[in-house]
Amino acid sequence: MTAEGIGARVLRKEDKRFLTGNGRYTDDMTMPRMGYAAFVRSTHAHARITSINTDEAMKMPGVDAVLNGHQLVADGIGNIICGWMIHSKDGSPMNMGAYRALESEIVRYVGQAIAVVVADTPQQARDAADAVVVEYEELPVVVDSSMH
Amino acid sequence: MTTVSMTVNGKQISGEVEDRTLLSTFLRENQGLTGTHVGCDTSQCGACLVHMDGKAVKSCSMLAVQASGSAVTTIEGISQNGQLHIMQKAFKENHGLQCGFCTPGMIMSAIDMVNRLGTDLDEKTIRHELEGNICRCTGYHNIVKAIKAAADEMAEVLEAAE
Ligand code: FES
Ligand code: FES
Repeated sequence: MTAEGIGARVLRKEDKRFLTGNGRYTDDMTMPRMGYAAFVRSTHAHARITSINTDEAMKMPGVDAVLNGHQLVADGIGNIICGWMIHSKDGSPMNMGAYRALESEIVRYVGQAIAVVVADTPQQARDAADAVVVEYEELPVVVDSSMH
Repeated sequence: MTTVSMTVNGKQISGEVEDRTLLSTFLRENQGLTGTHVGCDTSQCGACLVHMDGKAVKSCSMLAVQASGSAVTTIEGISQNGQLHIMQKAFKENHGLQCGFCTPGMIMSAIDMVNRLGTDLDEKTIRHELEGNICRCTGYHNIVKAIKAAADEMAEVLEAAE
C-alpha cells in the first residue's frame, strides 16, 4: 500500500535546476566590478614568520589590494572568535586559542593563510599571490605518531 | 593568448584565452556554462566532468587549448527539447541529489558508464565506476539506485527500438 499524505513519498521541487546545470552557486555569480581573492599560504607546518614582502605583488597588473595580518592588527580587527563558548566545571571560561584570519607571527600548519590578494581576475590574483615573498624561521614539528 | 574553437553542446564556438586556461574555466567563464562545477580543481572530485568526443574527461585537468577542435558535451547539453535525459529523470525520481553540486559530474559520469559498459550494470560495478566522483552530501546510495534505474530504463528503450 502506498501512503498518502503523511508518510507519502514526495519528489523535491528544486531538483530540476540542479539536474540541468542551472543551479546558482556562489562561484557561478558575477557582479559588476567584482574582485577576486587569492591567498598566500604557509609552506611550513610550524615556523616563525620573519618577513612578508608584498612590494612586487602590489605592482602586478589588476591588483587592487594585498593585505596581511599586520594590517588586521593595525586596524583593530580581532581574532576569529569561537561561536561555541563552553565554561569549565568551575565556571571559568574555556581557554580560547588566538586564531587570526591572517597569521603574521607563527604559522602552525601548512596552508595557514598569511596574506590575501584582491585583483580584477582570478588569474591576476593568483599570480600576485605567488609574488608575495614570505620568509620563515622553521620551528620544530611532530612528524611521528610517537615521540622518541 | 590563443584562439580555441570547439563544438559545445552542438554549437560551434570559439574564444580567445590565455594559454594556461583550463577547459573548466573556458566553459564556465568564457561560455557562461556554469553547470560544470569546480569542486577541487585537482582531479579528485569529478564535479567538472564533461564529455569530449564521447569520452568522459575532468575538465579541470585539461587545458582549453587541448580541447580545441573537439566536440564537448556538458550537463546543459543532455536534455532535449526541455525533456530531461533518462539519467536526469532517474536522479530526480530516486532522490539522487541533495545540494546538487556534484550532480552534473555524477550524471555525466553515469551516462559515460552506460556508454562504455552497456545497460547491464550491477551495484558493485556502479560503485566501482563512481570512484572518481565525490558527493560531499554523501548520498551515494541513492545515486547508485538512480544509475541502476536509468540503465534499466535505457535497456527497455533499446529493446523497444529493436
Ligand atoms: S574540479 Fe575537476 S575533479 Fe574536482
Ligand atoms: S548532492 Fe551535494 S555534493 Fe552531492
